[in-house]
This record gives sequence, structure tokens and C-alpha cells, in this order.
Amino acid sequence: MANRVKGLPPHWEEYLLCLLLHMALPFLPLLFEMLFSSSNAVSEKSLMLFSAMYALSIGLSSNSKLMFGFTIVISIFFSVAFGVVAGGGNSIPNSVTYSYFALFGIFIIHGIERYNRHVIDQTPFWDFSNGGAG
Amino acid sequence: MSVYLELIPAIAALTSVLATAYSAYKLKNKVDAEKHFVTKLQESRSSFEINDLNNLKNIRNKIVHNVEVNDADISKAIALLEMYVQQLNEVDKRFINEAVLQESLKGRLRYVDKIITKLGIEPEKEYNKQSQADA
Repeated sequence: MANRVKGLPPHWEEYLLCLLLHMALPFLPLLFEMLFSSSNAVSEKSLMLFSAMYALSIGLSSNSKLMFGFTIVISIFFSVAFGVVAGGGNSIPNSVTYSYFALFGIFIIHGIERYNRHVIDQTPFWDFSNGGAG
Repeated sequence: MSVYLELIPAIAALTSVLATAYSAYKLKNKVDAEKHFVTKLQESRSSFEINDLNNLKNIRNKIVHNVEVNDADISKAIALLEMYVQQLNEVDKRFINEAVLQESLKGRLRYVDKIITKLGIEPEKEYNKQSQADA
């Protein structure tokens, strides 16, 4: 008789679901801009705005006050950069590189925090009995 | 002027580096806290009361055999674990309490099961048949 294929343990499934839905899905608008723009690139303006909003939204879902503080600071700097690029019409040298670097950093820090929460502490990501996604 | 402008996203990127370093430090402390906790429990296992040990074994059996674990059993197990959490240092205590005293009941049950498994408490193979026979 054939054996059932074993899936991932529930806490790993929830961690990966969190990475996918909570952390990776917000990048979708950037992906579509890249796909449909004539230059096949994300504009500096979009990237500054996205970096500011992504840092803020990830920070708000953090359980750590210090992480929340760090992401607010990141968000403020990219908000200023967005204002300069969109309002002033100026391009900031290397801003795209710094922005991708910061986004990667935010993804890693929140990925670690979620690892602590869902894999080590075993907290469910999607627990409707406890008020929804955690 | 452009030099100052360039500093804006550069500082943001630098802040993310600092935050990453802090995250990694926190992860290391969290893993260490759990190791210390499990070691403390293993050292104290011989002093567990028979009722407490049976309760832990019962929870493990119920989870393995897909039987619902009631709140009273989880509370008893958490009270036992909390007794040993209190013996840890302040940093470890804070990290372990994040898991043991978390809001989610499902999460608490999973964490208790994880610790029971790490303590090497094995489920009984005949548990399910026996409980069905009792029912």
C-alpha cells in the first residue's frame, strides 16, 4: 500500500504562509509595474513610495518596540526621498540601490521576527478563533 | 545639495542594517533561552510529581491521536512549566514567557507539545484504541 506523502509541520506551513501573504504579496504592484512599463523597470518614484509604505506597514505588525522604531525611521527617510523625487522632480543618486537594500533588510528583520513567533513560539499565523491573522 | 540628498536613502539603508543586526542578536538569545529552559526541565524531570508527568503524557497522547485537549489540561501543564520558567534568568524568562503565556490557545498547546517532545515523553501506541473502548 502506498504511503501518504507527509507535508510540512503546521508551524512551518504557517511561517511560509506568512512570508508569502504578509511579506511578499505587497511587492506585487512593483512586479506589475516592471512587467507593463516600457522600460521594464520600476520607477524611482514608485520605489521610494513603496519603501516608505512597506517599512511602515511591516513595522506596525511588529511585536518589538525597537523594530517598530527602526521601521518608522526608515519610513520617514523614504517619505522625504519620495517628496524630493515626486514633488521636486529631482533624481537622488543611488536611491534605487539604497531602496532595494533597505527593502531586503526589512524583509530579513521581519522574517526573523516571524520565525521567532511562528516556528519557535509556535504561534499560529492564521487563527480565526483568536481574531484573525497574527 | 545632491550629496545631502543621497544621504537620505543611505541613512535608511544603514538603519535597516542596524535593525538586521539586532534581529539576529534577538534570534540567538531566543534559541539560547529555549535551550536553557529544556535543560532545566530535563535536570528537574526526576522531581516532577507523578500527576504532572501523567498530565504531560496525556496531552502528548491526545495530540498524537487527534483527541481534543481540554483547557484544564493545558492550564495544568503551563502551571508546571511556569514553575521552572521562574528559575531562569530575566532575559530567558522573558523569551520563554512570550511562548508559554501567548494569547493564542492553539499556540500555547503547540508550544507545550513541543516542550513535551523535547523532554522525550513518548506517546502510547495503544492510547487511541483504549479511549475508543472506554467511550
